[in-house]
This record gives sequence, structure tokens and C-alpha cells, in this order.
Amino acid sequence: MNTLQAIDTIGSWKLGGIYTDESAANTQLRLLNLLNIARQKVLFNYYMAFKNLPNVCYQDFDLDINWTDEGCTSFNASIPTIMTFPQPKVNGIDGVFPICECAIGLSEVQSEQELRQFRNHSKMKHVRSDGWYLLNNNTMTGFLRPQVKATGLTVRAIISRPQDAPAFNIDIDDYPMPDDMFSDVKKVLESDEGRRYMSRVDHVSNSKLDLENDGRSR
Amino acid sequence: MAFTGVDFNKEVERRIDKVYSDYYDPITQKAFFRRSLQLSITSKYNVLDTQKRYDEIRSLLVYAREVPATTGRILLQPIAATAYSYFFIPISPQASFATITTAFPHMLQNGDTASVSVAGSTGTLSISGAVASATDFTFAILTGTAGNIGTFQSGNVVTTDMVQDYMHLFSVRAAYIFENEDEIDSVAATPSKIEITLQKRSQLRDGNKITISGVVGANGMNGERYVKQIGTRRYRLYNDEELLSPVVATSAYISGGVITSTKMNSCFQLKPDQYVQKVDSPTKRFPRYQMADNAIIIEPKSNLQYVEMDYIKLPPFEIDPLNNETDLLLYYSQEFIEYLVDFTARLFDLDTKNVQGLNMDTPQVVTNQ
Repeated sequence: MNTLQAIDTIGSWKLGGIYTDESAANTQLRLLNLLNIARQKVLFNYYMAFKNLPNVCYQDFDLDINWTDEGCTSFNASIPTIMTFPQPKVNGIDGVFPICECAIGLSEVQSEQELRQFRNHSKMKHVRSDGWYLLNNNTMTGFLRPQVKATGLTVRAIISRPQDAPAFNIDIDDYPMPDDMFSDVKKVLESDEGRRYMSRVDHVSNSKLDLENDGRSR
Repeated sequence: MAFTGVDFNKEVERRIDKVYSDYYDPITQKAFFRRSLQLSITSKYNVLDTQKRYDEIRSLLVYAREVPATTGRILLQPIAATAYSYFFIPISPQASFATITTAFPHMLQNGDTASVSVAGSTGTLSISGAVASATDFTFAILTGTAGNIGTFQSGNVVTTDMVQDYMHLFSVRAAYIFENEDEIDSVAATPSKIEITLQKRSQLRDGNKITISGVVGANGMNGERYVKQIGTRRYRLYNDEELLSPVVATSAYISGGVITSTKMNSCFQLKPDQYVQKVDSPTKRFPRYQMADNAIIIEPKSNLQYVEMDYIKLPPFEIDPLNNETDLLLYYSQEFIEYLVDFTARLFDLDTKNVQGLNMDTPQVVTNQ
């Protein structure tokens, strides 16, 4: 199901198929946010039950790299919010790969301290990876081994809001979730927790509200 | 069989069962018909929920009119001039000019063409020409000695991009340029096909149209092209949207190449009395429009190329009770004219405080609604 169809489906559950109200563009965005929140919960539950995640939920994208040294070995880059999962997965990143021949994925570290230590550690230097990366909110910081000559980095991850992935085409691309999970999304949206999100935010113009009030008072 | 203004008048008189001219002279009557026509179109516009109603006003529906809107505003009617200053140049009277102040932002830029009609205490001026020294509310135009019209009384300004026949809006779609989103990494140009590799993954998908410019070599690559994705970052270029005719190169690729694309998105209304949160802010992906200053204002305005509008236009032809030449059926559908007769009769009852007539004519309007 492509993303627009997914939004339409949520709309049909939420508003009986009609969501061309006064702020339709925003309603579509809000429906997409609603779908994203439900997807996060469904995927989390799926992971807790089966300790893995469907492949179609992952998205590939290229990082917009800012090299912080002349030798192009250390970098930082902005990255969309990645989903979190409990151990052993820790987060939704499947791999961070340099764009070069024979690339091996970078290893994730948990702190800036680790990042510096691993770079210079006599043994860690020889771990089979092309470098290390650290996630700080929406920034990825990392180092590549000096011998790795990469033109950029590519990431495969489960993103909290799929539309934030660079190169995601909201008009055409499939929503990154198996179609058979939409029934779970519906269950989430219909649960007590989901209803909180589904309560409609009215965006009625003040003047119209006044008119309606006038009508009632007569 | 033709149905003229005279026939229409007869039909209305038959419906109201009174000799109309006893109430209004032909000029007033024409104005009355104009009012009735506009109100009846609005009445249809307000309840456009069945195919029948669309059919009735089909001649008034404008579909996908393309309007240049690089300034972000589409002016909908002539702008009132609020001041006029004539500057006479004695050395070269032909170079004399006038500065005009408008009531609303005129959106003219230096070099644009404007038509100015002003009336003064000693004369009038109707001139069309390029404007200069344009600010938001003022501009100068070359008038020669004809610009000397005495003390300014009234006037208006018409610009070329104005949508003067606008009545009510259906929808607005805005086309924005997306530039420098994709950068070319390498090009494989052969006599049978051209394939480009981008530096990063792109939002381009099969059948998307792009404009390539600035390519040196790879003769045939520059221009409007359609893409077919054949790899993560690799695309083949085609001449047609169906991706049947590949673009071929007659020389080897040397360097360069900039990709731009134009994407069109529907605009939704931004009402001035609505509270707008930051998440509601207009973007190129979710543009919005607002009605103000006698204009449709599109946001965001940067990178806006043009706009497509669907709307109801003003009646193209007025109903003249003395005109026995022009066939109204060429301008309006038969069904709409029948509705218009009913509506006019009802409006006449209202105007003349004829309660009995109103009680009889209202059901007819409702039935024909």
C-alpha cells in the first residue's frame, strides 16, 4: 500500500472517508502522524513477540555528510529519528555503510568517550568494521578508518516518521510496513490509547463559530 | 431556435404576470437582470452537489486556467488608483511621465505592462505601457504630454496577469520549482541511451519529468526529460512520459549538468481568522492560499512558478431586455436559463414586496434547484 493510500485508509477509519475539511492538507499530515505513531507501537509489539522485524519496514537513505577533517575520515550528519527497541537490538539501525568498494558496516558506540577510545584503541582498531558512529538525537557523528575512501554513507534503518527519510517520495513510495499489519494499526487506533490520538482537533474559524452560536441563541 | 434578451424579458413577464416595464426602465431592468444572473450563479455554486447543477452552469466553469504567479499573488480585478502625479519634462515633453499610487499591492515589476485609465479635472488618460520605479503601491509610466489631466479624480490599473473574469473559486494548484535536490555524479552517454548516476538517492521515480541544463557534451541530454529508475541512484532518460523513446547522445559526456523539476501540489485555504500553528505553516509540498487584497495570495511564494485555477467565471454576457440579436443559448445552457427565469421572477417578487407572488414563485425555484 503506498503512503497516500495508507493515509486514505486511516482517514476512512477516522472520519468516515471524508477528510476534505477546512485544513485538509494538514489533516493528511496529521493522519500520517497518527499512522506513524500506530506503526511504532505495532512494530514494537511485533519485536517484543518475535525479536525481529519485517524487512519492508527498513528504509535505505544516503546521509548528507559533513566531513570534519580533510582526510574525510570523521564526519557528522543529520539523520531522521530512528525507532528504538529493547535489547539486543537497541535501535532501528540495521547498518551504516560507507559508499565504497568492499564496504563493511560501521559499529555503533554508546558514547562520545567510547567513540574516541575505539578509534585509538590498539585492539579495537582491528575490529572488522570500517569505523564507528554515535547517534545524538538527530545527529550522527562518526569516524572511518583512514584506509576507507568513501564518497558518502548510506544507512538502512527503521525510521519513526518514514516520510522524513531523505529521498522518500510520499506520492509514490510504499508505506514501509507490511500490508497485513494494517489490521494491527486499526486495533491500536481503536484502543483506548488510540482514541486519545483520534480525537478530532477542530480547526473552525472563529467567525463561523460565532455564527453558529448566534444561530443557537435565537 | 434562438433565445434572445427580448425573449427572456417576455418569459420573465409571463412568469410574474405583470408588464415589467411599468416597474423598471430598460437600463434599470438590465441591471436587475445582471443582479439576478449573479445571484442565481452563486445559488448554484453554493449547492454544487449533483451532476445536474454542474451541467447547468457548464459554460461558466473554468478548468485549470494557468496563471503566472511568480509574485505569489493573483490579482482578481482592476486595482483602484488612489493618487496620480504628472511630471512634465520641458526639455523633452515626450519623456513626461506619471506616478500612480494603487489601493492594493499591484505586483508589477519594472518592465511589466500595465493599462492605466485615469480621469482628471481637465481630461482623461487611457494608456498601456511598461512600468518603471515600481514599489509595492506605486509605479511610474511614460505618458508624454497626454498625462496632463489636471487634478486627479479617479482611475484604475489593469495588469496582464489579472484574472478579471473570476467569480468564485473551486481549487488552486501551485507549481513549484525544486532545484538542486539531485546532483549528477556521472553520465553514461551512448548513441542508444543516456544514463545518469546521482550522487545520492533521489525522490525521482519512474515517469517523473526533470529539466536538465548546463551539460557539456552528451549532445541531446539537455532539455525536458523523463526518468526511469534503473538502480539505486541510476536513471535512464526518456523523451516521453510513457518511457518508450530513450534519449540518445550524439557525443560523449564531458562535464556539468543541473537537474531541476517542477512539481504541482494542491493548495488549501488559509483563513485569516484561523490560528495557525507552526506545523500548519505552508510548504512547497503543502502550499496554501488566502483571499485578501482583491487577490489570491499563495504561500510560500518562493520558487512558485505558476498556478492552475478552477473557478466559476463572471457571466460572459449580460442579458439585455432590448437585445433581439444575440442568442443566450450560446452562453448559457437551456436548463440554466429556465432556472434563471424562475429565479428572476422570485427576485422581482422580493424587490416589489409581492408576498403572494413570492409564495408562488419560491416553490418553482426550489423545484428547479
